Amino acid sequence: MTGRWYRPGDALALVTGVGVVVTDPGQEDTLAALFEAPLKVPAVVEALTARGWSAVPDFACTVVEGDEVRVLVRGRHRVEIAGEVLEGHGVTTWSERSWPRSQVDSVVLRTGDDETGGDASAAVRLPIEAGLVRASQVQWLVTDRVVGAIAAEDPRAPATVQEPVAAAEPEPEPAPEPAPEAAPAPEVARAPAPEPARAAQAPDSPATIIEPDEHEFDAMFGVTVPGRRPEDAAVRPIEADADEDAPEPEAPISAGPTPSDPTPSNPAPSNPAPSDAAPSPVAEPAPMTPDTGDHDGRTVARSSLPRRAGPASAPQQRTGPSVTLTLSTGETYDVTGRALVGRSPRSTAVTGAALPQLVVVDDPYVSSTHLEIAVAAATVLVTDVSTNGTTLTPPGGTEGVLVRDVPTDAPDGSVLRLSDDLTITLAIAGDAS
Amino acid sequence: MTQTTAVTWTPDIVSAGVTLVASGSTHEGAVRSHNEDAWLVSPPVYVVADGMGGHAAGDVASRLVIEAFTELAGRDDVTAPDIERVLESSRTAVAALATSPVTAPGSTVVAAVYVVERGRGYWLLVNIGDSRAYLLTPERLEQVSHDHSLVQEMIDAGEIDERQARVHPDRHVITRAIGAVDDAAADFTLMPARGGTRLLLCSDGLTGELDDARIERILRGGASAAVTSARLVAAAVEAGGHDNVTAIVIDVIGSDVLSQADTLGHRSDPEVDTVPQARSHA
Repeated sequence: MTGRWYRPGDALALVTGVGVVVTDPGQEDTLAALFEAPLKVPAVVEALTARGWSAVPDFACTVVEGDEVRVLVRGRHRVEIAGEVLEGHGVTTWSERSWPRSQVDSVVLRTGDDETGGDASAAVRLPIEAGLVRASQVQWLVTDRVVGAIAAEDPRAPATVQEPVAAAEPEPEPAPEPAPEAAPAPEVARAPAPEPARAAQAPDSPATIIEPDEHEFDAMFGVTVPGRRPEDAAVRPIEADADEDAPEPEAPISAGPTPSDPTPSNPAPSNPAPSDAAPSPVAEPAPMTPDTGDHDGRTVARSSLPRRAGPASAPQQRTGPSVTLTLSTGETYDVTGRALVGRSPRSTAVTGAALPQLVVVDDPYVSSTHLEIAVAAATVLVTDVSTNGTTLTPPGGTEGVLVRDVPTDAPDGSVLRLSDDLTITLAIAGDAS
Repeated sequence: MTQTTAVTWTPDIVSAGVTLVASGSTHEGAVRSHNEDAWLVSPPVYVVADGMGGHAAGDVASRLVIEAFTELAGRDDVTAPDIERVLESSRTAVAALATSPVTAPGSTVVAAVYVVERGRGYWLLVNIGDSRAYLLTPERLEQVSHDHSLVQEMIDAGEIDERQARVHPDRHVITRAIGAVDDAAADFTLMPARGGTRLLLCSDGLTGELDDARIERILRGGASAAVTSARLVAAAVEAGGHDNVTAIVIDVIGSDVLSQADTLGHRSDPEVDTVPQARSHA
């Protein structure tokens, strides 16, 4: 925690595991929205320019992307990085540069008012790992922990639950809305042939246009808390020695933006099939309410295209190390795959075998689902998903706060603190180090 | 013709003194002449299956699903792989009904199995299709299952909202089922079964007529599981009853009560206001 701190001030600073954004007061909502998803340069630019060019605030931003540290500065702010200073003065838009990550230890973002204030509080340096604060200066250390954070940048990463669209596009264009709406509407109106229309939706009707794999949605929008699967965390690609592993079904989450072509799938089926598909003499019991139009309440199935193997077949269960959790309450749990710790943890998966172990703790300061512990190929990853946070103390090391939603390597003997009263000690057996 | 059955069950296994009181009700609805829904209340297994209209023998399909699940009744050691086996055998049974790909019958399923591990009770839930599971806690009603339906996909994709989904012409199109479609992948959910909570399993005949707020009001009405399940079904029939309606209500009565619905803020962290998502331990 020594590497990341800020000095209290007037500007707004958003600090996350992958980067920092500093801008003017009044942008609280914008930054709060950015906090919802892993920080990325395009999202930052889009958010800050959303109100039009004349309204773009001064800002400074540094984000680790891949092997680069990208820096953007506009207006009165300055960024000190790798012995250089990037300024935003006199630039119509903003200054932008990248440095190789290997050359960067820390980044200091100075707001325009940094040196002007002479009051005592300006001298105070407060530690921060992640959050949204009022600051005059932020130092952000590019630590190893960023390795996990880079993983979180992956669009498939856990933190991207539900919010990403909203966060990335403050001005959601209403365009897509009317389109799908318009299509169904006429169909409702054309009540005359409700029954055949319904029959037309039977299995091989044209309704079966490409659909995104539901698994993708499940993964993105499922009830599950973020950070469920070690696979999703995408940390492994970085471990060169993660040997085995059938090719990851890359499919799982990437589909967010692949809108499921509402257009073809709606209008196509029913309208142009008045008579032919009438294979269901059995299913006629609802002729007496013509008025209800299409609503005869039937459940119909749509045949689906051959789908690729879902994450169900992903290499969830690997043999290898196991970890024993010893709670400060005295309870112990052996975990070989994945465990969720919380007051009322819940998980959804596409196979029974992929369900995690649940570790239920009765501590009101612990979140419903507070922490995920995953035994991966050669390591144990812990991911905080809580409200109040979790700290990790490696053996012989100092206590540090886990960055929310970022899988972090926890060595044997680590102590996790979920609340004042609850700690969990990890004992790793097998070939994990 | 509402049929209602109530079953009270106290697991033999030590599980924090929990008793499960469950009741299922079903009605063919106001429009349809026969009931393609089927259900099972046979502790620790509770199942609702909705046979698919527009296909031959939808009612047979749903009953085959139920029959497959009876294998788990009375057991106190059900695991997720057991449920997968049951789903597989019901797939086989339903597939055998098909005389041609076009008329292949199918069924949804939503099942809840009470399992005990280390003295705590859990719900092991599984669903395929648009039959739903809801959890009622003292604080809120929450849909636990995730519909496999066209409109749910459209909601997930941000194309329509819940309100539009309720009147969408394709709202009965499901994307996964046992039989009828290739894809019968299930969603499994595991969560603690805490005392003072109530679980609802239902077919879309209920949720198609009653919105969540209405369902919650009825579930909170203070009535027993039996009266509540019958009320839910009656309300759906009264609201139109366009489809068969089935509801199973399961009360978890026991001492393993959820201590607090929402996490308390951290006690000793002065920075909690400025650093909402991080804290340091002194």
